[in-house]
Amino acid sequence: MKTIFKYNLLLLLALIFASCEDELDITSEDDVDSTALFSTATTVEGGVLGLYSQAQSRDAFNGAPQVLSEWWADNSGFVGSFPTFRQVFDYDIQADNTSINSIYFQNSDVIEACNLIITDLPLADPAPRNLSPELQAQFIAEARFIRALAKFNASLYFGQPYNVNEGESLSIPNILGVFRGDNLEEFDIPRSSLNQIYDQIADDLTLARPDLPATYPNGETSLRATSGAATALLARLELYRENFAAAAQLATEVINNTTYELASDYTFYNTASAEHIFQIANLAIDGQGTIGYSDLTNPTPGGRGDAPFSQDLVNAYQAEPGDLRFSELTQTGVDAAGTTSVFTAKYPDFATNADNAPILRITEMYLIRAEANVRDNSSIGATPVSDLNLLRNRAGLAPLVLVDIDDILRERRKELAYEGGHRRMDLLRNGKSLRQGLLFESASAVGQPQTIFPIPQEALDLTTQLVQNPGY
Amino acid sequence: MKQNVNWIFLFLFALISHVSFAQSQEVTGTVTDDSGLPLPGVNILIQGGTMGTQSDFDGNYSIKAESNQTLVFRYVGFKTQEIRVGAKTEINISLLVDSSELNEVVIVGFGQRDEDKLLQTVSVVSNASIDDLPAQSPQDLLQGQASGVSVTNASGVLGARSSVRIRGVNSLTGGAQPLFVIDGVPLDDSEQTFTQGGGGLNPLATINPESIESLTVLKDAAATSIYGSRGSNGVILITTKQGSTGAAPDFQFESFISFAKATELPSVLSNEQYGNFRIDVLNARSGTNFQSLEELRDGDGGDYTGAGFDWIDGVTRTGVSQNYNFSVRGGGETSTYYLGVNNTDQEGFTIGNNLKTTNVRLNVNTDISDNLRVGANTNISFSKNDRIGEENNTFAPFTAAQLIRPNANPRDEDGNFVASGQTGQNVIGIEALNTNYVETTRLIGNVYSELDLLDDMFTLRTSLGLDKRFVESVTRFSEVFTPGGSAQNAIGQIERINFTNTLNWEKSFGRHNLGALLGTQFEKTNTRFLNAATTNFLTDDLPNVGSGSEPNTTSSTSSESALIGYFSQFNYDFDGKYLFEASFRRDGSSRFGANYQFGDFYAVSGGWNISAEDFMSESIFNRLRIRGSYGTTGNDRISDFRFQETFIGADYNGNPGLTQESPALPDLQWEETATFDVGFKSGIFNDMIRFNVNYYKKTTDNLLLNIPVNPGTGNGSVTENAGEIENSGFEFDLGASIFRDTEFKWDINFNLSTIQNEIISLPGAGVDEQGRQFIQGTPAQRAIEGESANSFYMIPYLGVNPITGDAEWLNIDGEATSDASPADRRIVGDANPDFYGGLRSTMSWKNWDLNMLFNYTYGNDILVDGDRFVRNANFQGAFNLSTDVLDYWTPENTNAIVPALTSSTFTSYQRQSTNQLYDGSFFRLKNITLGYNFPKKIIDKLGFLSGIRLYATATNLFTLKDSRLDGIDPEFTDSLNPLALGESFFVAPQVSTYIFGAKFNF
Repeated sequence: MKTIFKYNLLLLLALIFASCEDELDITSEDDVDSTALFSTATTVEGGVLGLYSQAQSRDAFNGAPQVLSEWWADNSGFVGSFPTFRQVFDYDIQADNTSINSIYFQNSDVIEACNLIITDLPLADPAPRNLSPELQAQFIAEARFIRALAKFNASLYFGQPYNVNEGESLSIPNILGVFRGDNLEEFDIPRSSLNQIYDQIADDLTLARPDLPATYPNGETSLRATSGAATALLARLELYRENFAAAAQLATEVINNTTYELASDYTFYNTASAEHIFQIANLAIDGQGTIGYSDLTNPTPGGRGDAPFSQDLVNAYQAEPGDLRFSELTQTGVDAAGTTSVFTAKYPDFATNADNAPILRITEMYLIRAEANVRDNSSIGATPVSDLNLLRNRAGLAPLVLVDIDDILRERRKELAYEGGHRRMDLLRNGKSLRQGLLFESASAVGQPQTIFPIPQEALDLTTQLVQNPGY
Repeated sequence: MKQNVNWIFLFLFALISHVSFAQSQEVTGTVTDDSGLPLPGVNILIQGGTMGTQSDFDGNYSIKAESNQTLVFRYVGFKTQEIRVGAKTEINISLLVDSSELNEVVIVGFGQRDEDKLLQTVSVVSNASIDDLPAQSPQDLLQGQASGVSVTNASGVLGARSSVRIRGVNSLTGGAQPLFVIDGVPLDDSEQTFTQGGGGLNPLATINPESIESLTVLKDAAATSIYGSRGSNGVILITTKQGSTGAAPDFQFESFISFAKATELPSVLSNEQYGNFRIDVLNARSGTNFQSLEELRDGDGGDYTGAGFDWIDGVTRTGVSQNYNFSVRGGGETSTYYLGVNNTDQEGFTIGNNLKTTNVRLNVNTDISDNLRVGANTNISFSKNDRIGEENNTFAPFTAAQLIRPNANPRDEDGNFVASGQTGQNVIGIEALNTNYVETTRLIGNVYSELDLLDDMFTLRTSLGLDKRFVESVTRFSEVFTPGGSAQNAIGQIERINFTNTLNWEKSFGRHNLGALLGTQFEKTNTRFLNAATTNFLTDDLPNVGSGSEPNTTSSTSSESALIGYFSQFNYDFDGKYLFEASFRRDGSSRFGANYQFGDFYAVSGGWNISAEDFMSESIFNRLRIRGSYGTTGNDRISDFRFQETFIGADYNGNPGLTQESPALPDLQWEETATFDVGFKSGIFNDMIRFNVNYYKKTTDNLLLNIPVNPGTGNGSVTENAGEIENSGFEFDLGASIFRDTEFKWDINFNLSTIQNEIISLPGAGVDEQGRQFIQGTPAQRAIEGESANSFYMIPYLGVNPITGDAEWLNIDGEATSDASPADRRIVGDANPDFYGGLRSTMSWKNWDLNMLFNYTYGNDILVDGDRFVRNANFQGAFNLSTDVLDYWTPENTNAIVPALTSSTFTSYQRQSTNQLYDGSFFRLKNITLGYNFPKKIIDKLGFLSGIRLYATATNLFTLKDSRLDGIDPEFTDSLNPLALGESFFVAPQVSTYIFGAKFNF
């Protein structure tokens, strides 16, 4: 009896365990794999939205490199705790700077994610359900736009501008591959020249333009890639690589596009105003995170108080009193050192960091056209004087009669302060030093090693083909 | 016929007995040991009856007995003797030591062994070693007590986790903590950090150390292989207190009060010092000419003219804690019970840091029939941890108190708390107004049945175990410090079920003794988390997260994993002299891809009890055993879904989106460790001297590495099985009973462990300037091929040149330079010690006892990363600074720490270099306890009590450490990551306590 009982017990246990082995096949409830990604049009769109979400990283477009540029140039004072930011302000940048590493990494992350959509979507087998050819072309075009934007962004920081060596200076490596886990060689390529990167960007934008819609429903036109946004970015590209006629023409095309309209006042920030061509949407539950635009540019206690206006910038506004951009878009507050200073008010939401990041707006098109015309001595679309006076009028300033490049730079500075890091590139591509008449003037001259970032030490350590920038 | 004869004999016997019973007499005498010293407390029993007595303090006894009765003299550790009373009225007896009775039974994995047949390398931390050690958690009981075990407390914050390492670091990415098993239930020790800065909570904090009977640390493969895929980092078996059969209820009540302070506090500038220093720096570097604090205020804005506020003093206090423990244990004829109730109310030495816990444990075992036993060990605990921010968090009291400028006052003129308006937050106000706590309810238990089969040859044990934790984190930040106010509520549930069956067989054939074990184990762990956070509250009077008008975060995560194991073990010994053991285990885990889901692990060991041989019977050795083992174990401490290709949610503008997180890894498999272990155990002069030596070598290959990849790929790293690491070392245990048989007793136990950690290979990893492969752990620390896994790789700092006043570093060519770069980095130190261990000294004299426990570590380097801020004179104006910065170079003060104020290196002298690296060796008196047990005479007068003990304890009383470490406690680690050892970023120091307690037995 006892034996039978014992054998029954063991059999019972064996049965229990045979069924238990299935318990080992567990899949994550919170994640999906690539077959799920390409299963329907809706999931593919999710993958495309994921690209914008990647661009939302503060080290890509939501503030870190952009505010760093303001510290680098002459717009902002630096009062804060981050030694990595201080290095840039003090023109003492080191190759092991972790913030620079993050910027390099995040922009690469966006680019690689775009590569996945561009490469794998046409090859998806089975083809995604409900995905029409037009919609597929649009999604690929959106990915091209974001890739172009990210490559443009990275090229601003890691290589000399076009006017140094006519675009033959080394820029970023032109990465077009998708990471599969075991294909590192595809990413171990040498740096391309700036011209090659610019050609890649122009290619992407030109291919994307016809397939991008002009508008999106639900007020999302400026939050996603449109044909207007691609044209606008192309205009900026042509200005940067000194194809002035092309830049003026493309800018005119966007200005004439009825989708966009110059706002009548300065309340357009963080709205769906027609002033915006492209901006990154941030929400309270899905915002910039910390150390982005809102956190860095607001005074304490709400923000970090790290980026008050420099005295130079305050002087620039006060040289022409009555500038509405100074009275309406600034605030006074206490900086991180306890001093009362002027701060920008373009990103007031320090609590949830939900202010949108402006990337392209119609005002910049006017500025591009004006600059292209001044530098090429032309008047495509409109004269530089009329373009500039349109903007000055909105700012409550008297019109100008004559316009030279310094007037353009001044207007750009006052209009685009703390937006997109424009000041630094405006000075460099016009051959001017970043700290004219200020501390570190010679170190900040065009072409100097410390006016661009080093390739991060980690990238050099982990690849074989990258060459470091001189002086690092 | 036979029956009739029996009855006759019985009758006659009864007559004789009856006659004998009439002759009862008083028997007295003295019981001594074989050297003539009296033995108190010896049990003297009438054989076959229930009458008995005990010898008194002088060994004297007195008992009424019949002449035909036999007196049995019984005493632990001595050979029992039986003397027939006969006609004697005085029986003096000398008892002989019985070394065989000194043998403990050692608890090992899935069973137990007699100590003299133990082949596995284990360290037992017995009840005697932990009984009077006031501890917050089980890890505290291990520090310094077992060779091969290194315990580092993260900091002095209540509830902070500890890092436990058994025989070094065997994994770089796959968690290096050992497996904790309590009464056979493997514990879930996942951290639930709720991001408060650096700190994670100790997941074992809710286990009451006073209910622990003993701990066994399993170290070599023979011991750990039976835990298969979880044995690589070692296993710690915790056994809780049980009752005993036939014992009257033993009540115990203990209570102690403790006073806690920080072991070290940093010294920062006062208001006046700060202002004057700022004047000096501005005058030197910015061309100003301030001559007084008033001029500074008017010219620069910072007002340092007042008295200022001592923030470090403001955030620290003497923490007063109370602990009450009540237990009763005992048993009837067929059952035993242990009930323990514990309540503690602890205050940390930092304001706002408290921990209240209540613990109830009930262990019962009962015999249902002759061959069926059932039982349950259950524990329920409740704790509420009032948390503080830690480390890299400007809301952390210790961090902020060092950074906030000394002219900041926590209150304004009206007495209300105000925000500081600077990087260092007003932590005094924050701790007063903000809410920040974690509540944990935990249920750990198991029920089991044991069935003896086939005439007790087989025993079948079935056990069902549960470890269930409910964790709730509530934070509410006041609008004074966070405009609009904010709240967060996170709830987590972690549940682990364990089902274990074992079949045990034991048989002896003559002098051959055999045993075998077959078992199966199934375990499933489920985790769910929900997190909600809102901002924008109307008023601070609304405490709950639902009252915020703007939802900020809503997220939830879930995770699951399962494990199946089949194991077997076989042991054999011949006459207790020649020993052999082998084990095998096959494990399957849901964490690995289909190609490698199952793994096999085995171990073999053998040994020779030389002292049991006949030719050793006259030697001085009462124990001499040599043994060796070899075996394999695995490590499964990776995240649950690492091998799957994953796209995670990446929403944009309120619409759901996806982005790739990691590619698929179908070939992901176990890390496997092979351990070779050899050693000997000896006892000399009847264990008066005990000396054990062990040598081990652990080689782990198929290391799971997150190989950093080209950041251009958009992936930080990819996980691969690649790489090999080796740990080897010696473990010495030396015990001596210096005075054993006298009135004054003194016993010491000394352990020392050496550790050598070497990375053998790291294929696929990046290559450094010297051509070696490496994995970056932190910006300062790397695992380097051919070197240790925790090598500090930094620029060597030479100090301030006394002639020029500039800071200098050593460049790669060996020259002093004031312009260093990352290319000048090289290996400058190792976070792993050369050796470590502890020393325990137990002294007693009459009713007094004095116990001391020391722990030490030598040869490890530590990085105080916070120095880059708080000892960086360049940050004057932004933060408060250490008083060290006042030592700057001037022509009169050429031997300075800080460069000249005008030096170009003034801005860079605290860049990351060996300037922040210190020698972390220390020797610490971890615990000293003076106790007094009331003498028996006084106890007897009180009647209901059977023992009173009073004691006073001091912990972390003094520490010998490097002179450069003034104001810094060398014991810390701000991360459990095996690649980030020995680093501090504003870690709070350890705690030093004074404890007074009393224990009553009745």
